[in-house]
Formats: sequence, structure tokens, C-alpha cells
Amino acid sequence: MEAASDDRALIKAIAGGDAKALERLFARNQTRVFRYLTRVVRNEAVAEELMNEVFLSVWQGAARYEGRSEPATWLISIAHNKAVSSLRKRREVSGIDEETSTQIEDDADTPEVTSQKNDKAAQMRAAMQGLSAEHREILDLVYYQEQSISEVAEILGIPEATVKTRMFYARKKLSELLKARGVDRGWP
Amino acid sequence: MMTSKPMPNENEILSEADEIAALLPWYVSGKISASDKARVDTYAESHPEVRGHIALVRDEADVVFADNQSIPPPRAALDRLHASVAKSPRARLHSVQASVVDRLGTWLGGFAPRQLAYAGLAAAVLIAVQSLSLGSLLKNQANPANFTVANKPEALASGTFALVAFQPAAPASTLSAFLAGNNFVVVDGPKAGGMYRVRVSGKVLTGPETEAALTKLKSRADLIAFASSAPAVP
Repeated sequence: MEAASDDRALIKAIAGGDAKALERLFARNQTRVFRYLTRVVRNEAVAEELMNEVFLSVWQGAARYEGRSEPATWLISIAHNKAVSSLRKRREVSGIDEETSTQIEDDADTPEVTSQKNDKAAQMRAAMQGLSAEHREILDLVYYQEQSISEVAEILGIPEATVKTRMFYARKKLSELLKARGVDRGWP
Repeated sequence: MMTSKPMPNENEILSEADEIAALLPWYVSGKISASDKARVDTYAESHPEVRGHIALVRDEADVVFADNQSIPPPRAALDRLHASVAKSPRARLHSVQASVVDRLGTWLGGFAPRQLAYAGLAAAVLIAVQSLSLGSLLKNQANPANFTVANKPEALASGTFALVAFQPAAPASTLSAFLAGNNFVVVDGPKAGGMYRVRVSGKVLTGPETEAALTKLKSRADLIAFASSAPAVP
């Protein structure tokens, strides 16, 4: 909570034009935002570009932060919108859906993946690569970004009930993908 | 393609067991409401298999956490952000403000005549960001009760004049009273850069008299940020 309080103060200072406050907010949150973006867009160069846009948006729009959500949630929410927009543009340019692309990758096991098939974590990691972008994203939001149900709802712009069912079906799909790899988790 | 709309199945009503299963990720992360946590705890008392399911959730969380931790933060990201911020219109405005504050500090320390031009420039820029209070002053030009201003062109033709910058936070009513009390009249402004032209006397004052008028203006540092003599002809 103390970190959130510090970030709130920084955002307020940024709204007043304090560039040093922006640097501090950036230093405190860049890793979290960059990792989120990298996991969603699956391209570090694009993620870096988008992260820059996220903090530039913060610089230009800090006054619009009303303090109702946690600063981390607000930042990830901005990052989510940037990522969605970027993926949409990429799809329009390439004609390849991110989800389809994901499945293509999953169908062709790399030698590295094949050699790691006996490792439980590696199996799960490989199975997660077969999830849709939405399902991978919600796993990250809950497990790594540690967002609550209401916070995920705010970031994704969906009802809380949908957050719960999306997470449920993401995990269910993960079990199916693991089963296809010969790993029966006993659930569902 | 990512979407914010519900995906297939997401509007289905879950069974009680599935509802509990759906809550487990937040149960494990601790980001769960007290009522949902109590619901899971109560259910788990009569359904021991939930403990095994919690272990599955922990395995998933461990993998996701490890995957995220393996991504190093970009190295030159701050430099890139600096460059972007510097190009943004907002940054230019704030750098101007910072510069003005610095220069104003120098000016308050007492400047030599040769510095006057620089201080004048700084104060002029200061005016550009005094939007709120000066905006109200300008509006009040049409209201003699609130602001002392000459509204007859012939009244502005002669006398002794000063170039003045007002403090951004100066209350319009206090400023008006000060100007009126000293027969100072705002005759023009904001000029290029935002300076105001103020007539300090209807007569052509001598050098010492002009200095006295300027000293009177500067004596109210709470209202006047900058004042210097101005030529009779703008």
C-alpha cells in the first residue's frame, strides 16, 4: 500500500509538470509494465516502444488520473489499451491473427521444447504458449501482476463475472493442452 | 485477436464447484475479498479435493512468475522516454516555466541594466503561463470597478509607462486596488510574450520619479513579478 501511495504522489506531481517525478514513477514501474507488454505482444522491441508510449501518456494525461484505482492498475490499463491497439494494427498489416500465430508456433515443437518434455514446468510453459492471447494475458494479470478480480475487470473493460469465467476457462484450456502433451492434472 | 468482449462460454453460469475453482487463483494470490475467501474456506472444509486444486494453481502461478522474471527490463528505455518527453508540447511549456523561475530568482537578486533585457524576456514568458489570473484581469478590463484600465485611447497617448508582469497567483481584486490606489493604469497587454504596459503617470516623469514609481510597483512582490521602465511610444 505504501508503494501505491508513493506512486499516487508521483502521479500528482507529474500532473503538475514534475519531470523528475515521471522518472521516479518510470523507475518504479518500468519492469512490471515492460514484462506485461512483452508477454502480451510477444515482441520485446514492440513492447519497448509501447512502454515508451505508456509513460508518455502518463506524462501527458496524469491530470486525468482520479485516484480511484491503484496506480499499478492504471498503468497496466494504459498498457493493455496500447497492446490491443498494436496487435490490431499488426493483424491488419500482416493478416495473421495473434491467436492463429500462437497456434502455429505451438503445433511445431522446437528442439528445445522437445528436449524439455520431461520437465513439469517446461511442459506447462509450452502448454501456456498454446493459449489464446486473452487467456495468456489474464494468467499474467492474476499470477504475476497480482491484480484482483475488480482490477482485472477495470484493465480489460469486462464485467467481474466475466473475469472469473475467463480465468476459469483459461485454466481449463491449459489442462486440455497439458493433457494433449500427456500430462493429466486431474482437473477438471 | 484480443478483445474486451466476453469470449465464448464466458457468459455461462458455473456450477458451485466450478465457481470455487474460478476463485482459487485469487485465493492463492491473496487478492480476494473477505466474503469470497470465506466461501472458498467453507467449501474446502467439506471438499478436501480443493487442497489439491490449490496446489495446481500454485504450480501455474510459479511458472507464470518465473517466465515474467526471466524478461530483463530494457536498458535504454529511460533515455528514450526523455527524448519523447522533450518533444512533447507539455514538456516545452514546463521547461519554459522552470527557466522563468530560475531567471526570476536572478532578477530578484538585483540585476544590472545589461541584464534587463534577459529578465524582461523571462518575465514576458512568465506571463504566458499566467493564464488563470491574468485571464480574469483581461476580462475585467471592461469593468472599472474591478480593474483599473484606461478605456479611452486619448488617455493613453502621453505620460510615463512601465512594462509589468503580474504574479500568477495575485488576486485580481487586490491587484486592482493596488493599481487604482497609485493611479497606475493598465493600457495595453498582453503584449508579445505576455507583458503588460502600465501607465504609471499621466505626466512625463523625471528619471528619479520614474524610479520611484517602479520601486512602488516592485515593493508589492506579492502582486508584481517584474517591472521596468518602458518607452513613451510602444
